[in-house]
Amino acid sequence: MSLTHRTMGEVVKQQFLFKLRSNAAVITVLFVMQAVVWGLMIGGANTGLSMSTFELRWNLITNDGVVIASLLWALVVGVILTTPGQRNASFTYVSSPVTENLANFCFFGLAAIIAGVTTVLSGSVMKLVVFMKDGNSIIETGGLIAAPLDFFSRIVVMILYTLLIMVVVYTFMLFVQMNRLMIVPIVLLVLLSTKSGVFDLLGIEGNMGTLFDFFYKESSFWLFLVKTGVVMVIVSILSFFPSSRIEVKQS
Amino acid sequence: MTAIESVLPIIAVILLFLVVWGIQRALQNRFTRKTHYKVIIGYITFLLVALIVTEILEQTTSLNLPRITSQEKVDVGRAILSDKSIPKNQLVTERTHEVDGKLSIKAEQREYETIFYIERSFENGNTVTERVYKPSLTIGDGGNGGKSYDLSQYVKVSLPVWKGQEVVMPFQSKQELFISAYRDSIFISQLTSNQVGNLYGGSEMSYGIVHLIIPENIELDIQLAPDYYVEVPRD
Repeated sequence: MSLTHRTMGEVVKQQFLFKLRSNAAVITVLFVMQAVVWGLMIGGANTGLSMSTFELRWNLITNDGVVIASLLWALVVGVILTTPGQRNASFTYVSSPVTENLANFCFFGLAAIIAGVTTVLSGSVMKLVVFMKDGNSIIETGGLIAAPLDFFSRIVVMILYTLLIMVVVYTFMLFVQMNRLMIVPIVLLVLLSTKSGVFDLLGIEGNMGTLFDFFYKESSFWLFLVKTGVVMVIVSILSFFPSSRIEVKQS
Repeated sequence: MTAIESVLPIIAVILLFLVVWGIQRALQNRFTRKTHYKVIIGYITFLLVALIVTEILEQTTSLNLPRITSQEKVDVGRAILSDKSIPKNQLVTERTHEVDGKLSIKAEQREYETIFYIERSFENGNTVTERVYKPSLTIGDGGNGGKSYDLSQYVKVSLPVWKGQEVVMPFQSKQELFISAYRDSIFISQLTSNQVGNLYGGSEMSYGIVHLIIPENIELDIQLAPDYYVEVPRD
């Protein structure tokens, strides 16, 4: 029992700083993954056109790989923060499931910002490779000076997708830890999201594509922000239910 | 789809999780917290330096190519056949040549990228008008309202050589053009004002055109393969 009264904000802040210190390696892993993908993507995709007296060869490099790697990393981070080791560490502090979750969401927020910014900035490294190659270079998407709004919109989109994946996976994993049987609907959802043949056999059409389009097809900044924000808030609220149950089990 | 293919995504996610977790634990144990902070600061500094350098290079060395839709592409051959006006920017040169009685049209090469459009005028005389139109080269997906990059200016144009009573398409050595391109991921460009195109969308090249307007009284001797010339029908 603590003798000094501490506000919830102070506890969350302390837990967040603790998580930041103990999970610094998570951020380093992201950078390692991004750097590995640079190496894989630097070759680019080659294509061309050959005629009798003329030959065109062009090489296209994109940062698709870095985006995918960062989103997969977000998925793993969502899982890692629900592991028993992470949860038990928070007992060092006078914490509740609420402060524990809030501290985790703060960590997700910072991790998503780092992932979003570094993913978009990774494009500069790819551009540098394009400039170093022989021949003429085309930069299809303008940078910070040429199209500043587009540049920042990419960062915002990447941050929101990363955060969304972290929060959703984190909540799913909390439900799984509350009841192992919850893995069944999650596996079914993953299968459905990949439009798996299992569902084709059962005559059920995967409609995860529609769910994906719900976010991806949105071209209005504010609507996209509202959509991702509302989904994240709902999922975050849901996460408080299993986390309190897990705590009860532990005691 | 087999059962194995169905569960492959799940296996991939589990493997990825194990790999990332393994790396994380290894880094956690081997690196001190300060080392992690140094890596984070160093990496972000490197990215910022790369950003500054590329912003400068983008302003100075990147090609600022015109972009056109498929509707904006000019089909010069069709325009000649239908007697429609052709934009001046498609014309490389217009020349006139004095020919006495007979004109032979030849090529020094079996295969080349130029087509002769041969039009007989209703007038008599010795003056042949020659208009050379540039070939067109575009890359990228111009379909569905998308825009392609117009690289036509980088294609060298060979002019026919006129020697007395004959016009010869000279031997053309192979020209090579190499382009490197970068585009940001389409996945995170959903809110951008300038939607990124699909540079995988292929390339399109149309041949250069030599349009000859030859008076009726000049006898013609066409020594070209049938694929390399078109006789413009007379109205």
